[in-house]
Amino acid sequence: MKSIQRRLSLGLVAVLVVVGLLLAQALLWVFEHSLREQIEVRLKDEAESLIVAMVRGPQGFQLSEQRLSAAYKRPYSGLYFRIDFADTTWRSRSLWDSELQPGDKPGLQEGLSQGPQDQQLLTYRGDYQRFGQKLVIYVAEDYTPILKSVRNVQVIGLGLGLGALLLILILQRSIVRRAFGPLENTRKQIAQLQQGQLNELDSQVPIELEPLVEQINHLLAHTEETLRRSRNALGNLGHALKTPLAVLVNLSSRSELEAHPALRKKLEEALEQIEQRLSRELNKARLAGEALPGAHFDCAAELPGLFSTLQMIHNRGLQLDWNAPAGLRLPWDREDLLELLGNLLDNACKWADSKVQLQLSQGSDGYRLVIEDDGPGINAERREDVLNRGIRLDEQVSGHGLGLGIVRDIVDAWGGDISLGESSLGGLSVCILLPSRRLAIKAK
Amino acid sequence: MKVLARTFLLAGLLALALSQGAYARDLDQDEALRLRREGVIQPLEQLMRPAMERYPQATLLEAELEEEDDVLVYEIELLTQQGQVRELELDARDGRILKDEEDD
Repeated sequence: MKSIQRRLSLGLVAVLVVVGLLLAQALLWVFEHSLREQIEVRLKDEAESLIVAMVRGPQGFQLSEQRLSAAYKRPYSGLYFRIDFADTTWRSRSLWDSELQPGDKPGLQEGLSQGPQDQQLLTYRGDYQRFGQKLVIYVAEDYTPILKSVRNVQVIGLGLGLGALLLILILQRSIVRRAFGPLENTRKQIAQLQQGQLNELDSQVPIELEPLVEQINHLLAHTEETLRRSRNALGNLGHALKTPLAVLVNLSSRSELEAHPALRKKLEEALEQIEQRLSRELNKARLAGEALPGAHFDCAAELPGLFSTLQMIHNRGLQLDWNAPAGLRLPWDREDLLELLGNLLDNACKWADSKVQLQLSQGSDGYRLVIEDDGPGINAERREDVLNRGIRLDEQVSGHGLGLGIVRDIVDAWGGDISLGESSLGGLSVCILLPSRRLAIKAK
Repeated sequence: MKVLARTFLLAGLLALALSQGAYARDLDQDEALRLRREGVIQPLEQLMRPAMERYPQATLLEAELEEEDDVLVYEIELLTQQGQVRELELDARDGRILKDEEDD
């Protein structure tokens, strides 16, 4: 996976290294250049001092001992001179048994020349005329201390540069993390949206995220609108067909058809199938509501109403109970869940002796709905059968069977699982496992 | 420079005559260079190597080339890292350390 963080870091490091090295090298060059200029001035001064030190003695020219600096007398001191006359050459005592390489042009010599004891010499050449003679004076200074300090500056600079680079990378990391914070918030909001806790994303986000959030909100609104429209269209179609269908049903029972009982039977069967198919498709269309944002079923708000209705319908002193974790919200459409629970509870109430219980719980991978009664129950070997037959029956004969058809449709639409078992109350237990939204989507 | 060297020479002669009474002559840098070129003596830099090994990173304070009874000897003074001044005598032909004592 490509990481934006890594890409940013690499770019930053590359830019900083290139710019840093260029800058450091340029600074170093300027630093050394100015040092050399200083040395040149000093060496020129030394050369001029040597001219001053030249005096006429009893045997021609000589260097006045008092005017000569002590560094010229100590062997290998690091300060040397060489004076070339037309016929002879004078060397400073400091050179001792080594020589100073002459240069070819006046001024500071380009490179460094090798001196005694591994010294690197920076040499200045001055051309003068004195006592009617042309003379060339070379003055050289040991450059190694400066080279050493330049090297030190380089090492220290490199260390500081690396330190700064590290610091910048750490800071950049935290800045990027902070910059991506709002994105994480938006992700959480999308998850909440899926859970049905939100209707749309908060649009109070950084400018860079605004288009994205706006687009998602727009998509949500669009999906909702499309869904509503297609539902309406199906509903309208259903209602539009209901009247002609009723007319047809009515017609099929007319006396004219009594003479043809076989025809009437076939007609009735076909009409019934149309009717059933129609109602199932209408239901299914409604179940598509899973994609609706903000759809949820608040247990504490909805269940008391449902239970009091059931109590009213089955008015025979049944004890109806439900329990669910406080504040449990099931992330599915309210109508669909009411239909699902209503069907199953109604069934349980029909068969129960005295007690019906509903338990809702939330696990790590989804929700668990258990409906139990203390009725006769169903034998273990027949349960699977009933589950399947119930559907078949339901498909063929409306209002009969266990009313499991619609339940199965709903559970299937949500990617859930339904199973029958024996209740601790003695009767049948219907257990429905609904995966949480994200899992359900993944499973598809 | 010749004059200079001669003054040195005179001073050296005088000093040696007074202290040792033996014949010894100080040679100047031009003679040293000539003798080195002729191969009579080794370069000072090379001769100092054993001494520098004995006193690492010592500084050369002074070096004199002396001719004592036809033997060329370097008399050098080293400032050791500990700040002590050592006086050494080296054979100018092969660098043997002839004498190594604390300066007095």
